[in-house]
Amino acid sequence: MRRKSHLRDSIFLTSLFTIAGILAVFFPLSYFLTTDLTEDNARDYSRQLLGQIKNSIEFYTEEMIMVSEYLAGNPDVLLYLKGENPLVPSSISLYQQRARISAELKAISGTRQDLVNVILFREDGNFVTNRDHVGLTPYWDYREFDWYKETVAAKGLPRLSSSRVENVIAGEHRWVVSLSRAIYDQDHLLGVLLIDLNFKTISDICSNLSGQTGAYVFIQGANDELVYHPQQRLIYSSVKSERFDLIRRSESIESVTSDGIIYSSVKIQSADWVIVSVTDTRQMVQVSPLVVVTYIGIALVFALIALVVSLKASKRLTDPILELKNSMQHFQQGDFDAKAEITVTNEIAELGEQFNTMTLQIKTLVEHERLIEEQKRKSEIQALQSQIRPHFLYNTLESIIWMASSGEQDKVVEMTSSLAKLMRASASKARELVTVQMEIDYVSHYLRIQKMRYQDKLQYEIEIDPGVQHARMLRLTLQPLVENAIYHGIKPLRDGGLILIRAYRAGTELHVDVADNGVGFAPDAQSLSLEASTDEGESIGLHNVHDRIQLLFGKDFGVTVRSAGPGQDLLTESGYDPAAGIRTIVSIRLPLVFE
Amino acid sequence: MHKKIDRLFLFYWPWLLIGLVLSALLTGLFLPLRPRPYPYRIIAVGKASTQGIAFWYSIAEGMAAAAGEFQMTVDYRSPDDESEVDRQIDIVYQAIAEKPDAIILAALDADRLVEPARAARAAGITVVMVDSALADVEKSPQQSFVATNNVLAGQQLGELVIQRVRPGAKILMVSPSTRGDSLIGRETGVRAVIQGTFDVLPTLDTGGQLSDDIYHQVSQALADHPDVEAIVCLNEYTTAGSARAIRGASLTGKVTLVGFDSSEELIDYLEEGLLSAVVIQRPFNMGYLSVARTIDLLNGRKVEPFYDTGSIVITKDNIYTGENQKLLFPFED
Repeated sequence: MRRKSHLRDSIFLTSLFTIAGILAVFFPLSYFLTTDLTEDNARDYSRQLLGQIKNSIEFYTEEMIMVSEYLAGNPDVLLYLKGENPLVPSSISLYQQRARISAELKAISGTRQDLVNVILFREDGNFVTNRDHVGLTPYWDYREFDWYKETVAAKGLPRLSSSRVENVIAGEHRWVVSLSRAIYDQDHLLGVLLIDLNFKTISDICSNLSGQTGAYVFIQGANDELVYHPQQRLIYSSVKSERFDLIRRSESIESVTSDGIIYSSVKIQSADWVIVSVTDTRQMVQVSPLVVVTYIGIALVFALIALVVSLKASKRLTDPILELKNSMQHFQQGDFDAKAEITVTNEIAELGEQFNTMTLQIKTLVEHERLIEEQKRKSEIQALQSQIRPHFLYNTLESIIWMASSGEQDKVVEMTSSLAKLMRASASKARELVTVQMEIDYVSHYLRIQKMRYQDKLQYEIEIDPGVQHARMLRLTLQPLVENAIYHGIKPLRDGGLILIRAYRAGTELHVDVADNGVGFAPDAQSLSLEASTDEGESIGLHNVHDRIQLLFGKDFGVTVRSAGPGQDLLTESGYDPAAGIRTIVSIRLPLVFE
Repeated sequence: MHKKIDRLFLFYWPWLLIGLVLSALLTGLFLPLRPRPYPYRIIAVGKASTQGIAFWYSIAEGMAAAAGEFQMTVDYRSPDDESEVDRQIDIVYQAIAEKPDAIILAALDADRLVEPARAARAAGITVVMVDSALADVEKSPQQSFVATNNVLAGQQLGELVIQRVRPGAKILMVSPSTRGDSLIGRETGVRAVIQGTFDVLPTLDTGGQLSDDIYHQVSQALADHPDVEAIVCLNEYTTAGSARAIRGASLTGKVTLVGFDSSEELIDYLEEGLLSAVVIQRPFNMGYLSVARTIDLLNGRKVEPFYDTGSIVITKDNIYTGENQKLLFPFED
């Protein structure tokens, strides 16, 4: 199982919540904006609708009133209604009168298809209609009906009924809206005019114009009865209810909104009718599930895209980091060859490269450190090797024994004293670097012992420039050189030789020379390679010294050997008396340091 | 590489799920809580054609009004008349084959329609009864029932007889069928009120035929029982047929007729006085509520097992008052 990446989680969650937040704001905002817009539109639409319906209905009611006014003023009608009145010319029979009026009524209803019945009732029970072959119902006396009584009571003013079933015609029950008007001769009632408008005309206006959307229209008449309602039967039986309290009886359109339902109402001019449009905006918003589905769809698609993108982005970001982390762990566990292989190119890639450079550097440093450590150990071993050899100690002790047995008391003391000092200096745990003076003192003890052993065969001189007395040099480096000069230079000579030790300054360097006038080296040995170690124990001392100097101070320093073999010209170096006959000079070259 | 992606999604699927649930919650929050106007397919199977039969015309009208509120339509089907039980069963099976969301059924036979209704339920179709239920309401497959409480309506009819006819008189009861649940209810209601007071003849079952045949059957019954003083009819066309039989036998004014439901013809008889009174139902409301409750059911709402749409007594005097006009004259043109 891959280790859980907290960084990836936080990147992923951040983008997820950001997007979710944006969606959470965007979605309801657009929804409410749409809703709001829908409600405004619905209100405008309902008012527009109401205006149109009002105009249409007023057209019909006013038409009925116009017809009633025309008939009420028509001389033929008046003559007929007055009936027995003596003023009526007797030449015109009742039959002729009725035929003329009937033709008139037919002419009116003929041009207006929606006028179903036009009936003129005379006070004595005689009547004229616009239709042939119809009779009044035998079961009812129209004078007993409420509409008739109210019309008479209205004293000649037109009365518009609610929607009703016309029941005066025998065998017919048609839904109509009636305009009735009493016709008077001064205070004397002559008769009543009844005009029936097909109710379908009104209901069609209301139902056709509402049609679309969630809107519908109803008409409330006087006395709060319903003239038209698409669901009149449901309201009568209380299955449905209507907010009649929100209706305003005003001649200009007024809108009231309650619980998302817009009630717009207007009173028509010619009658006591109020037309009301009801728009359920809740339903309208609901009616557009497509909008909602679209919103959700868009939101989901965006969310999905965002999800994938944030997954990819976080992966792209965290994968190289994980790679880097893994490499670091390997490195931490000691694998210096651990490398971060990052394929992307960004800051993390740079980080990876820098990590790789760093590991390389650390690797080099560690390697270097290890080398130095190794050399240090080697140097220590070599330093040990540079110490006084047992062979020398044995010889010296032999000499002391010999001196003691020959009673040379003073010499024994001197030699023993020198040996003691030599041993102490050699065994001391002094620092690696000592002053030139200290090193010279040490080698002096050695020379003193050797001189006592070899007597006249060995001469030596020591010459130190005052300026380099306190300069530093590696301890136990001079003695091996002197030893080398004695055993290889002086000892083979029959007449003894001279050793010159010089410490002086050469530019920024300190030179300590050990010169002798001994036998010198063979020509091929002149270029004695100090780098290559030989099997001969003699030169080990020289090699050690050379190595130790180079280890501490670098390749520029070390031991130089110049020698003139047998038969060769003597060395003529500056600073040396040519008369001394110097054949070999071994120089220690060191940087001039004082502390 | 494929494995890596798989593992990635395995690890992140809970977040995907949370995201989806979140979206769903948001959706639920901002969707109106009211039912969404799914265009459900609803088939209504009535007892008779809407052509010229005011009762079924009004039922279909009410159904259309309710469906219209949800931008839907209801497909009304029926046999031509109430004698065709087999035909109605066929219609139901045919409707089931069309896999609608719901079937609204007015059972011509309370027992024989149980099986087709069960088949509909088994096919995952919602079944709501209108006007006439299935037998044994407790175990029947119907999910709701919208109708006149026929027992109460029958009692109203019985009260009319008590108000108009002298106690002990011989009474003829005419029913188009003794199998329909609504008719059984009405008969029960009538008998509960008049049984002890009057001499009630065995119910004349006219076998679902239309008026002409009923005219002959009732005329025969009147001939057989010349001392009948009142006729109680349990539906519209038995009332019409009986009215014609009374007129045919010149017994107007001598035999009191009370009936059920209305038509243009019956209103004429009411105005004339040949028909004394009728108990009418509210078929428009019945149709409306049956569809409204069906949509409720489809939307997962709980509905009552029974809705009573009520019944009204109509006499000559209240024909032209407010609601009654609308009930008695459903055709606007």
